[in-house]
Parts: sequence; C-alpha cells; structure tokens
Amino acid sequence: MDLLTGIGSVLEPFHLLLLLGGVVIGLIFGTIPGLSGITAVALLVPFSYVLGAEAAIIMMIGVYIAATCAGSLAGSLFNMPGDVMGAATARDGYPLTQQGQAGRAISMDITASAVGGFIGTVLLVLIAPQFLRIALRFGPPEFFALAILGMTSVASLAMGSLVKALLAGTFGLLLATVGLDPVSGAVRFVFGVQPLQGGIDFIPAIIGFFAVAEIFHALYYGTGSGGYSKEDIKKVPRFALPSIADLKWTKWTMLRSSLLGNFIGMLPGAGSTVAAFLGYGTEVQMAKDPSKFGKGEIRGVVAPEAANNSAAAGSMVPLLTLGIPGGAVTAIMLGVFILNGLRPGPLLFRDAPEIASSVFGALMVASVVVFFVGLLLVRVLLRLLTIPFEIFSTMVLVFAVVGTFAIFNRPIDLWIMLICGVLGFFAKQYEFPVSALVLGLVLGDIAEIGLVNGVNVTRGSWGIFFTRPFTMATLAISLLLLLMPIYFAVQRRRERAADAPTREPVG
Amino acid sequence: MRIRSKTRQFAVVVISVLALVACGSDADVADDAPPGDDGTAAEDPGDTEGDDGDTGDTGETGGNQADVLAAIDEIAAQVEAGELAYDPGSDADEAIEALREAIPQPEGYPGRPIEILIGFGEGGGSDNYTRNVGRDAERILGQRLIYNNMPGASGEVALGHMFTQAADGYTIASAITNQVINDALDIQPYSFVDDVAFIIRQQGPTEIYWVAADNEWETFEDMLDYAAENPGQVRVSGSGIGSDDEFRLLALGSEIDSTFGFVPFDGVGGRISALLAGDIDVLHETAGTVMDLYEDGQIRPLAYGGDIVFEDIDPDIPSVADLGYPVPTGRWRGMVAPGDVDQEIIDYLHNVFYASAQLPSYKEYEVEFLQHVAGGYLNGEEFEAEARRERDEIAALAEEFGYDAGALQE
Repeated sequence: MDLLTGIGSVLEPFHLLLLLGGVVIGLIFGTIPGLSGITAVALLVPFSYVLGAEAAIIMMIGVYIAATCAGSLAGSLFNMPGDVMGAATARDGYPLTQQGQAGRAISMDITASAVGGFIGTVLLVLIAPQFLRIALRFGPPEFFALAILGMTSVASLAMGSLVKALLAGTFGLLLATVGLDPVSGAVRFVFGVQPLQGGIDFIPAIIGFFAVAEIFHALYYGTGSGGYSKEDIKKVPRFALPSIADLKWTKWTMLRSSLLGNFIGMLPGAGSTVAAFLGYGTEVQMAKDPSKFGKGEIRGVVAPEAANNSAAAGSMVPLLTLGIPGGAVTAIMLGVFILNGLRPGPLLFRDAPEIASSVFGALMVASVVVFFVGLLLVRVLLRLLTIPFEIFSTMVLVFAVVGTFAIFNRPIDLWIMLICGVLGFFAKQYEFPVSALVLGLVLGDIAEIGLVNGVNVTRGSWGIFFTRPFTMATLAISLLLLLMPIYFAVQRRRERAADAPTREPVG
Repeated sequence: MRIRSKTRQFAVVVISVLALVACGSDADVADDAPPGDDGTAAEDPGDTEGDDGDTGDTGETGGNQADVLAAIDEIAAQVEAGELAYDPGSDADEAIEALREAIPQPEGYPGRPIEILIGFGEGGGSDNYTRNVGRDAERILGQRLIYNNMPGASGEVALGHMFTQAADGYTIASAITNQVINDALDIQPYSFVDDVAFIIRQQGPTEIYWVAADNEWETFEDMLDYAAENPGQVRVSGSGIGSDDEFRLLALGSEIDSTFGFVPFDGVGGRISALLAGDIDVLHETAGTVMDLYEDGQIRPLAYGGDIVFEDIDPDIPSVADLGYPVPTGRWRGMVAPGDVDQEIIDYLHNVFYASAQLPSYKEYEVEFLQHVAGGYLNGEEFEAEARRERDEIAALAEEFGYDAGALQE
C-alpha cells in the first residue's frame, strides 16, 4: 500500500472526474435532510457493475467523505441535520446561524471536516496497524463502556435543565429497545405492529425530531426563514475561507477530535455517529468555560465535524484489513468489493494492492476536494437561507418523506418520522434537548448488546467489567465525567447560597 | 405572506404530512391485478389459511414439469459448451430465446415489473443471492425485477410487508432459514410455512466451525470433550436472533449432555473480532465470509457445520453429520410468494429462477461464494415439505430446552 501510487491513480482524469462527481453527489445528498450518504452510496451500487471495483470505490469514497461533511451543513443552517453526526454539530452551528454568522459556521464546518478527513487518512497510513490491534481488543464489555462514556455527554447536551436532558436521554434509550431483542429475540414494545419488530432506526427518528419538528415549530410560531437577506450573503466572500483567528482558536480541538474520531471509527459497529457525539462531549468536558457551548461556540462545530470525518477514514481500516464493515456505508462498500470479485481482508493487500492504495489515495484527495468544492459552495448554501419559508418547508417535507422511505423502503419508517416530528415539536416547546434523545437512541443498542454479550463471553460473570483494563478505564472516566458537573454545581450553589439565598428548584 | 392562524396552518401541515405518509404506507397495491384477488389479500395479511391444506396439487403438470427442467438443463449445457450465444449485457440472446421457448408461460404474466422484497440490507448474503439470480431471470421474464431491500427483524419486516401486498405474483420475497425458525417460535402474527407459496430453494449450508489458529483444540472432538466436561464454558458465536446457529448448538449440546455458551452478534464484524480477540472460542460462520482469514492462517476449521465436506478447503476435516451428530436445520435461501398466488405463476417463476441459476453469471457468483458445493436446490413442493420438517424439529428442540418462546409472545 503506497499512498503516492494511490494518489496518482486517483488523479487520473477519469477517476478524478468520478471523485468530483461523488463529492458533489455526497454534498447534495448529505445536505438535504432525509437524503443521507447511505442512500447515495446505496444508489451507486448498480453502477459498480459498469465502472469496475476501483472506479466505483473511488466514487463511493467521494460520496462518503462529502456526505459525512455535509450531513451537518443543514444542521448548522436550519437545525435540520440529515444524519446523526449533524445532530451534534447543530447544537452550536444553528445558534451561530441565528446570530447571523452562518457563513462562519459552515466554512469552519467544512474546514474541520476536511482537516479531520486528512488527518484521519494520514493516521490510517501511519499507525493503522497499531490502532487496529487495540481496536481488535474491543470486545462487548469495551463497547458497553464506550456507550456509557458516550452517554455521559448527555449532560453536555442539556439546554438549561439537566433533569430534562436526562429524561430525554432515557427516553432515547427506551426507544432503542423497541423491536426484537438483539440477543434473545423477544418482541419488545411493538404493541402488535408487526413492522415495528425491525426497531426504530435513527435516521427516520432524526429527520422527525429535527427537520419535521423544526418545520412544525416554525409554522406554529409563524416564524421561519433564517432571516437572511441578499445583502447579508454578499458580505460572505465567494470563496469563504475561515478566519485565521478561528483556525488558531480551534487547532487543538481539530487535532484532538481527529485522533479520537479516527480510533472510534476503527471500532466495528461504532462508526462516525458515536465519534461525533464523543468528539463534542469531550470538547465540552475539556473546555474551561463549558457554559458557552450550545450557544454558538465555534469549537462545538469543529469538534464533531473533525471527529466524524476522521472516523470515516478510520472505518476503512477494519474493512480493508479484516473485511469487517464498521457502519452502514462501509457495509455497502464491502458488498461492492465482493460483487467485483474482491474480498477485503488480510489478503487484499497482497492480491490487489492497487485497490488498497486507491482507497487511501481517494480518501486523501476527497478530503482536499471537499475543502475546495465545499468552500466554493458556501454562498450557494447560504442562499438557501433566503428562500421564503413556505417554499423551503414544503421542499424539506417532501425530501424528508422521500428520503426516509428510500433508506430501507419501509412504510413504518414514515410513521416513525411523523410521530418523532410531533414529539420533537413538543420537546422543543418544553425545552427537552432532542440531541440527548438521539444520543440515547444511538447508544442504546450498543450498550445493550455490549452488556448482555459481555456477560455472555465471561460465562455469566459480571466481573469482566472491572477486570479488563480498557473497560475499567473507560468506566472510570465516565464516572468522573458524571460526577464532575455535579461537584461543580454543588460548589456553585454553595457560593451563591453564601451570597444570597436562592429559591429552591421545583421538583 | 403573513401567517394568519398559526394553529390552522399547523393543522394543515400535519394533515398533509399524514396524507403523504399514508400514501407511502399503501405502497403499490396492484392496479392491474385480477379483480377480487386484490382487495382481500391486502386486507387480511397473514391469516389467509390457518390449516395445513395449501396450494398443493401440481400432479397434472408433474410430468410436464420434468420435461421443462430437462429442456432447461439441455439449454444450459449448450451454453456451457458455447453452442448458444450468451451475453449477460444484452436484453436477450440465443440462450435466453431458447429458454423463453422452453418455459411455458402463464397468459399475460408478467405484464409489468416484479418486485422482490429482500429482508436484509444491500451487499449482504441475501441481497447478493437475490440480485445474482435475478440478473438472468430478468432477461428470461422480459420484465424488470425491482429489488426492494427492507431490512429488519431478521427478514420478517419484508415478509410481513409481502403479506400486505396483492397476491398476484408481482410481489415476491427472498427468504432464508430464519423465517422457518421464527415460525417455529411463533413470533409472528402469520405463519411463514403455512401462509406462503414456496417457489424455489437454491442455496444450502456452508457453515464451518472455526477456531483461532492458536487454539489448543486440534479436532472437533477435542472441543466437544471439553464442552462435555465443562457445560456452558465453550463460547460459540453465530449470527443474531432467530438463526439456525443456536439450534444447531442446542442439538449438539443435547447429544453430548452439555450446553454451549451461545453469544450472538448481529454483524459478521463483531463475530470475527470476538474470535480473534479471544472473547469467544468457536465461530460458526459461512465459509465465504471468512475465507481470507483462513487463507491468511488466522483461523482454522474444526468441522463442517452440515453434511458437506469442502474439498478445496480441507478434505480431512469431518462434517458434523459425518461424526454422527444431528443437524436440525440447514441454511438455505429461496424465493416465496404470498400463499394465494396462482400455482401456474409459481411454477413459471420456479422455472425462471431455476434456469437463471444454470447460466454462467449466477454460477460464477456461486463459485465465488463457495455456494456451488452446498447445492441446496429444491423445487417448491420439496421446499415446503422440508420447511415443515425443519419447523417441527426446531419447535421440538425449543420445547425440550425451554427456549423462552413463551417470552416471545406478547
């Protein structure tokens, strides 16, 4: 696997054209709520017969990297993320838009994605084998610990009330239990609706909770449109480079999140979604002034973006070296490899080294292309904010319905989307953070399978959660992160109590 | 434009979304389906006929059918010998023309594209099977096949959806062993075995019991000896819920008066990394998925899961059946339709898929996935009989071991 050969192969005109096409498709599909990168990659599968493995994979990587980046653009612009990772970015991106800084938010968003993808690829080439060895040690108990660690970031997603964040997170966990029990096969919370046995997938849920709920909310209050005028947009340069100050301010955030994201991406089954939330949560926990997050802190945009794009690169490691897909998109890519007579796994590097190096090359070039194409598109994207809300909301609703259905072709997903939309409306009304809910939904499955199988692999002993070093360390960090805010809160209250007696909180 | 009554506006939007959703839910109930068939099938999914009496009698066409299959085999042989032009890229070639000639076609069918529901995601085993067998089937049918991946609940979401569609032969599904197991455990509001029309079964079991290369057990018997002395201590992983893996282990355990610790992982990724990391001892997995790890020397086989020995992997390793242990279920894939579909259409589809599987493009795929050794072909009638046998056997095992089928019912 030679990165230079790979880049060379990707830079061939035909391949570069496909990559460019892939990036554009990915940006479009990723940005429109409802049409996710998974849909785009799945739609490309039939073309792989014609294109051949190498060309098809290069194109898919373009789509994958671009869609991973774009999944959060709509999150920042309209609070309507198209994918889970966008739900983390929207926390700070959307407030920035409301403050009239949409251009700044999305150019940083794109920059962080590109940097994350780039660092991720470099890490992939340099230290992947070592990382992989650790990643392989990740058994069920470690996944359980990781999910718990992810859940501690619920606190960082709170909008004021921690209790409401916890309630939302727990409700998310409850939603994750709907469907067939992943281990025993028992039917849970299906209430006689047979198609619900497939469980609640998080894409329909997210589209409902964010996009649909946002539209309901805007209509109910008669507000709407981002409130941007043509003049506002003209102020943003044609090629919207981020400001040097922002880059300096977030450079360590980018690096940290890229490292973290890359590792999480390598864990089969965790993928970019968990990476985005962990990246965000870590950044909030590490910040000296966590209170700024959720109100338009640029680091809150950078952290999840760098993490999830780096994770996208990381997810190629288990795919290429072991033939293990880490998420939905890589699972589809695995299918494409196999359909073309290639079998990803330890022998791929021996049997088809050119494919492996093309993958690395494509990841790297795609990150660069996303950067340039993305920044060129900033003004186009901002123009979306000037569309009258009546027209915009109609379009989004249509895409939401079409996109939700297109992922799994399941009618039930439409009902899930609609019901989540209504729930999301009320959640917004009463200030429950839906991102905490989504986190619970995403992590619930991972935690459950990790816990049950963790006990299974030790033949029924619970000690495994305290004897495996990584599990214990992760659980300890989780506990620490959990207790720290409480400690600070208590201390703050004491200080305040010393100043002037405050009203007891209700409930 | 000022929004005057926000509540009214809100209601209008909710209703229009509802309408959109409702349109989606109805999917495409056939517009040109035979009158009468349509409405009833869509209304009562599942319990079309509870008793065992099924579509059954194909006696009169029996002799004919053998001739048709012989003709198909003959054409396939000619293609193999290069006597008939075969070009998978074209709409029709000599081979396809000859097959269309040989296969008796029901009148007016197929008059439009046929939808195949796949109960698993893109790129998985079921998806690969369906799309590969569909490649030439599409050409023989002269109609497009629309592949509709509808994952969830080990294939049951797709199957449940199939029962809500008109039984006109324009919606069929590809099914796997899980469907019979779920039927035996009585999880679903319908009965797979009783309520579908079986079209064709085309694939067989290719599972192997693997261990990590450095495992101390040399043979399958070593592993069984250890398991017999230490009940529940041998951890075996297989695919997720409602899979054949667990029942094979139950049967094996009952034979040696012991139990295995079964650790199901939903994705192949989790299973493989658990084996390599030593979290589990034995992996019960399709040969095709882990071939590379085997060739790379990271894992080695202890025994073949069914009754087939893979000559190209290691002819010296025994199969579980050779060793004299029971194998309650195979792992097959096949095509089914709603139970009310006309038998003539079922027979026609059987012949089309049978023919497609004899042609080079599907055969190449089978070799690629090591499915060619497994065989597994059964015609509709045999498929149904075998599914019934498997269901009875699994139900008996589930009862014997108190597999918590009770908890499965709401």
